[in-house]
Amino acid sequence: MKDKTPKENKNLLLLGIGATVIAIITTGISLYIYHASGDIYLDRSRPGFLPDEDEVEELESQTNDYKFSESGPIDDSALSEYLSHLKDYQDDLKDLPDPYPTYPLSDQSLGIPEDKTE
Amino acid sequence: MFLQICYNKTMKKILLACFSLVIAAFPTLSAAALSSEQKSAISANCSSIQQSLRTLQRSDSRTRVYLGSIYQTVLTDYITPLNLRLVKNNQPSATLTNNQSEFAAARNDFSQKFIIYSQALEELILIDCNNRPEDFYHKLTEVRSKRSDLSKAIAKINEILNAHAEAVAKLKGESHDER
Repeated sequence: MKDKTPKENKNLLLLGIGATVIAIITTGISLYIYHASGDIYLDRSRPGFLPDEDEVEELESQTNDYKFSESGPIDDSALSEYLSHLKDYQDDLKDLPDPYPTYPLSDQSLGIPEDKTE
Repeated sequence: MFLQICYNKTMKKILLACFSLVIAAFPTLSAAALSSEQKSAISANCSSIQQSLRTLQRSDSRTRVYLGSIYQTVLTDYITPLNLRLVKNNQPSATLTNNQSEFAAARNDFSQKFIIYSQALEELILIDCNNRPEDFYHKLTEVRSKRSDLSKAIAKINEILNAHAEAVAKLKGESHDER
């Protein structure tokens, strides 16, 4: 078997370095886009944000497979069925009247005393 | 002519110096609203405050997923198919079509506002509240405002959904009357 020449070895090394540099650059660009676009804040697969086991079970139990069909008549029974299923979601949303209340970020909640100099 | 040039250069330097002083003083001026007691409390409780914020961050994320899944389901499995069915039955409804557009826009607005709020909250958590209580409190005020905007976005979505349900109920009444 013919041994590689120094030039071939050098080309191989350059190929490896070049591939590594390109991989680092593209990974860096991907991570930048991931952060800049805000997708990171919608991603619950990142460490510390994975759903708990009980949360997964609760979500699975609440899964509703109903989907209003795109075809069919528009009559009283179809619309009654539609409204009946839609009401379940409206009720779920009513159970959360204020999903992002102000209290958790209030001075009282964070242990910051009121400004008594006013 | 020479004096004019010098005067202008001198004036420019003076104005630039004054402007720089104002800009440098501005954060101090706005942070001056924080009392020494508040600063001490923030510095002393920094780690527990940050822990509370991290817990809140995870809780907010769970809530967003929950709400997001509901909104997505309502849009793709209810509102959109209903409008398609109406079109196929030659009964398109301008009200319900507008509802669909408004709902989709409101849902996107909610997602965008959540991203903005989350970014601000993450920046807040990263501030060293032990040594920079003024900056921390200034950022906290900003995060509160963004959280309020998020809350308003959700209220708007719920309003549109309720209007949609009312419109469908009205349509149901009309189809019942036609018989």
